[in-house]
Amino acid sequence: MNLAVYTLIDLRRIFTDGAGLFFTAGLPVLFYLLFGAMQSYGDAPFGEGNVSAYVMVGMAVYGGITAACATVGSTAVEQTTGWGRQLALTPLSSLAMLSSKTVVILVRAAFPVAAVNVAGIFTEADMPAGTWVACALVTVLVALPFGFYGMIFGMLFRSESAVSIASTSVVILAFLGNSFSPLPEFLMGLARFSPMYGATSLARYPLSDGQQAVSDIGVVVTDPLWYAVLNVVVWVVVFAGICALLGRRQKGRR
Amino acid sequence: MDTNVIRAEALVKSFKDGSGRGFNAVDGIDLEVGTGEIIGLLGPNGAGKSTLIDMVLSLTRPTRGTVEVFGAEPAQAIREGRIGAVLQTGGLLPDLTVADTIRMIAATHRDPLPLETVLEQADLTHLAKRRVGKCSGGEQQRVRFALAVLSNPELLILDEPTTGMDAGTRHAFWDSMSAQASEGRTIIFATHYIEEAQNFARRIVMVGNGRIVADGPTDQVRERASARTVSAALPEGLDAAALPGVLSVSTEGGRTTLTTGDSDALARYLLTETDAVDLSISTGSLEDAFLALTSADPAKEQL
Repeated sequence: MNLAVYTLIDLRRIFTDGAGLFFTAGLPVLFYLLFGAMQSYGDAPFGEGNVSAYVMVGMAVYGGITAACATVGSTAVEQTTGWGRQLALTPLSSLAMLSSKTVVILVRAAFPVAAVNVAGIFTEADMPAGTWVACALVTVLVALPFGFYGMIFGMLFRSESAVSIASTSVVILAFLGNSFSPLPEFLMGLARFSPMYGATSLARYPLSDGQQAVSDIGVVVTDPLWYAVLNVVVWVVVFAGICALLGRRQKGRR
Repeated sequence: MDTNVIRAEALVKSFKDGSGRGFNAVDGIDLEVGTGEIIGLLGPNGAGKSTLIDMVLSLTRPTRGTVEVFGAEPAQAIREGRIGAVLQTGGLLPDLTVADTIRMIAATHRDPLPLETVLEQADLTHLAKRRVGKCSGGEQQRVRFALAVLSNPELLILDEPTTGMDAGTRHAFWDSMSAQASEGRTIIFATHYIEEAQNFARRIVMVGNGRIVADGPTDQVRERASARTVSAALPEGLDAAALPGVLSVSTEGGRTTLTTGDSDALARYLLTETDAVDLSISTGSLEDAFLALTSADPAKEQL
């Protein structure tokens, strides 16, 4: 039993998909440059840093979550090829498989997060180094539950459409979670219950201390930390639970 | 003494079909398999072979009844790496290389065979760096075989292992299986190539409509289920159908072929009481037995 070798070979599958890797990192970098660094208000102060840094973290969260969500593709492939059945014939336990998947999801998510943060270093974004590192680390971690989110789509829709359904829904969730452009204040009531609100708020917390930019002029909303924590915990339980339920019925022949 | 490798009792597996009605893919199977047996599992498509195998491999839970492998739950035998299985189709990732596929599955086992040994056993050494998706059907089947023997299992289960192989590859495959068998492994293989079962299996289990319709040594199953044929050039005017013990008559050219339950008596009668010449006796093939047994089943009643 050698989980490290198993995980390394699984990781190698990511790097055979160079184009996919490039685009999951490229889009959030572009978004950050357009909506953060190039904006006139980009160097306006915000929390412990500036607005560019705030936008950068939001885009990094979006990038990390999109990459984590790529599990939808690999899960669909594992289902349609019967690789899942092959693994079911090995001594590999569910727990071992889960920890291996966790590593793969985190490594996947780390790429776009790193790309956006490097873009930030070379442009307008500014915050204290410690804050920066903390934001980046949390950004990678909060992407993890969306690996399970992707797996759900891979198990439910075993077709090409699974990938586009999952990645489109992430864009919608990113708007809803106030990760992209600031929402009007009245929508924040809804936003706080959506899955990417918790991830984004937590990743921004070292910088913003809970401040949320909203589109109403001159208004900044400050949310307590527990909003974000509770949101993340609840959605982790929901995603992982659905995954476990679907996984249980997946081994049988189709 | 308990040398049972597999013990299944009153095993039933029901599925829901499209309209929500249940049907039994496996409908009450009792089976005991001892150490070192080589069993051919025969049956038409949809007979329940693969469902039976899935239950033995703990991929599917039985609806009723029990199945034990090495005296415990099948899942435990899987965890201990005591079962190796070649799945019917798929089961491989197209974007991995042959060597990586084997390395990855080997990493899940406690004490796998070395990569080189496995590659050699499955004749894959020259293909190690090729992507699985670029391998031919026969080559992919050899990869599946390599994965099955990785843990040096005591029980090898093969679900239609030669599907998609050409004649030459199929021959080579059974040669390597003979090598596996001579190491004392218990082998069960499902097939609908009757010839393979006849040549390789020492015991035949025939399945039809989710039940076992015949189970015994290969020769016995063949003989029991199929009548023998006696063919000869009969003198003009002899009423072949009226001969003792004749079940059916067919004439081709100058020869008449008779099927009978007692070929000895018929041959003796023909040679002593009539002017029949050029007589030959043959045993029916396993295929005849197969058709006789599986078509006799009330297959259409349930539809």
